[in-house]
Amino acid sequence: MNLMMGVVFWFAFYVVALLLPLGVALLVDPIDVVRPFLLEFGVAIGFVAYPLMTCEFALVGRMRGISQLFGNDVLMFFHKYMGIAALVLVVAHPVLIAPGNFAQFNPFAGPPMVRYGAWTLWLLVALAVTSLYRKEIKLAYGWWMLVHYVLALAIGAAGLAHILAVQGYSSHRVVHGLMIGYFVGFLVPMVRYRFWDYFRMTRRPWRVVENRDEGAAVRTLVLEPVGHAGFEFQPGQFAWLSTGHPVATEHHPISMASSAELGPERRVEFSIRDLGDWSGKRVPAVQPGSTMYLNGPFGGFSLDREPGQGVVLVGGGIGITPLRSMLRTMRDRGDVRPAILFYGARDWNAVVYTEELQQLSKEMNLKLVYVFEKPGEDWGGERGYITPELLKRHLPAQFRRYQYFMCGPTPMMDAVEEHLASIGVPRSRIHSERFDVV
Amino acid sequence: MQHSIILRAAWALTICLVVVAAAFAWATNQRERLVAAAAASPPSTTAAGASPDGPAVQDPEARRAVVTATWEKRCAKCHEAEEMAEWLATQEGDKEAALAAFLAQHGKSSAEENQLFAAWFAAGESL
Repeated sequence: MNLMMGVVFWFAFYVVALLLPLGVALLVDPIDVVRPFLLEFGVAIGFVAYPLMTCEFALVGRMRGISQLFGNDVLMFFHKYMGIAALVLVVAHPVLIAPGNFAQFNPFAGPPMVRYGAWTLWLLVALAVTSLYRKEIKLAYGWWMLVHYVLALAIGAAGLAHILAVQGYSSHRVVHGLMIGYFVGFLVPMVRYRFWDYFRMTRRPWRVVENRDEGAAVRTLVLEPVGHAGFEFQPGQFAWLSTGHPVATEHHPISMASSAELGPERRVEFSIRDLGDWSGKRVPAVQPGSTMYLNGPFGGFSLDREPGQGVVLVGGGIGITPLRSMLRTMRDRGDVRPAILFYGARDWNAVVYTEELQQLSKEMNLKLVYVFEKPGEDWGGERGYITPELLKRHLPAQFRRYQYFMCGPTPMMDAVEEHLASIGVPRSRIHSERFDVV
Repeated sequence: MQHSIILRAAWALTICLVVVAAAFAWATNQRERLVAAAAASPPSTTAAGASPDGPAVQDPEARRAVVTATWEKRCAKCHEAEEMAEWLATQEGDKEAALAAFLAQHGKSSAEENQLFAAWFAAGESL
């Protein structure tokens, strides 16, 4: 199946999954009285909202094929936006059915059906707040993940209890069974990766060969597989990294920083910037010789998927790591296509891999363009931010035929995406990877 | 893929879902009207099997049984009977008409059942 066919197939499958209960309810329609339009509309919104909530987990359930097809950050952001849509629909559901009836929002009073519905709504509000404002409420990533799973599970169960208790359309056995099926379908990817994938990870340990300080608060972990062949990956992809036992410790999505052309020891490198919690405390303490666990590779942000006459890489902060993997892979493959790296940073002190990038520029057709926000007086290169004018100064005449890969801080990527489009780069040639979802 | 495309796709899908839900509501509403019109002659009966205006419901106990059964079928899953008295207390003027008008815009009960509830609760009766 080619890429576009795969994308269309899975998106169509997703839309059908969202609308199936509504279609079945329309066919079996067990309601025998005239009900106002708004009431029916509210009920229909509920019948869309539940599949939307239960399909949410399938989007981010670490299914490798789907992740590589769409790209993991695409799925993550789509999951986030559709989660917000689900919240809006869940709020609209009771408002349309009984406008002005505030008692139905009380999870502690009223008939069971109303209480289950109210629980669903408030748990979903809690899930949205803890996800959208995780940093503001200072919820550590590991704790947030746990809270997210528990809330999602509770929402799925409370929502199902609500639907089955209503006994409207769900009084028909087909609708009844279908809604139970959605809840079971919701559990499958969760169980699959929380148990099966974790079990597999424990069977495939990795040894830490080196924990290197790269400067600029970045450390590089060099890992090699123990008793297995490791994994093949495409330059730009990432893996979930666990510094301890997969069940007991948190997992973090980290890009591979090394070449996809693996050496005889099949080592893989990960560069991690100190962002305060896990990366600032656990990672620096990792000792060579200790055991770590990986689940990967994942993601569709890859040099190998996008053929082009040349490659333009735009990196900022720790977003340089997947770009480093791309460059090293090109070098190792003897790829002679031109590559340009725009590296945005505050100043020289915030840059990593300086000597290595300089060496790469000698070994392959690579042009380096550093853009410093606050450089010293003696800096003779580009200053400020990456602008359309700056891009035009360094891009060759045939730049529209190149492929563009970006990874870095969200504001930088938002701006550069628009700059590239404004100078005429086709949007289909702009590819980005964002990890700052929560 | 560009980030703005993801946002647009999410918006488009959400709007599509709402439109389909509205179409569903319109279709079921139309079908229910057709079914109700077809059942209009002869007159439909209440959930208890007796017409609310018929001789059986003139007896207070029988009437209570009819209202209770209808309430159980149509309203009890979402509402407590006490809510009706509380809501009526907030209404001014013709409480029976206000309740009948409200029920016509809400709930699963038929027009006859709405009249039954309106007369019952507006008279200060409880279940």
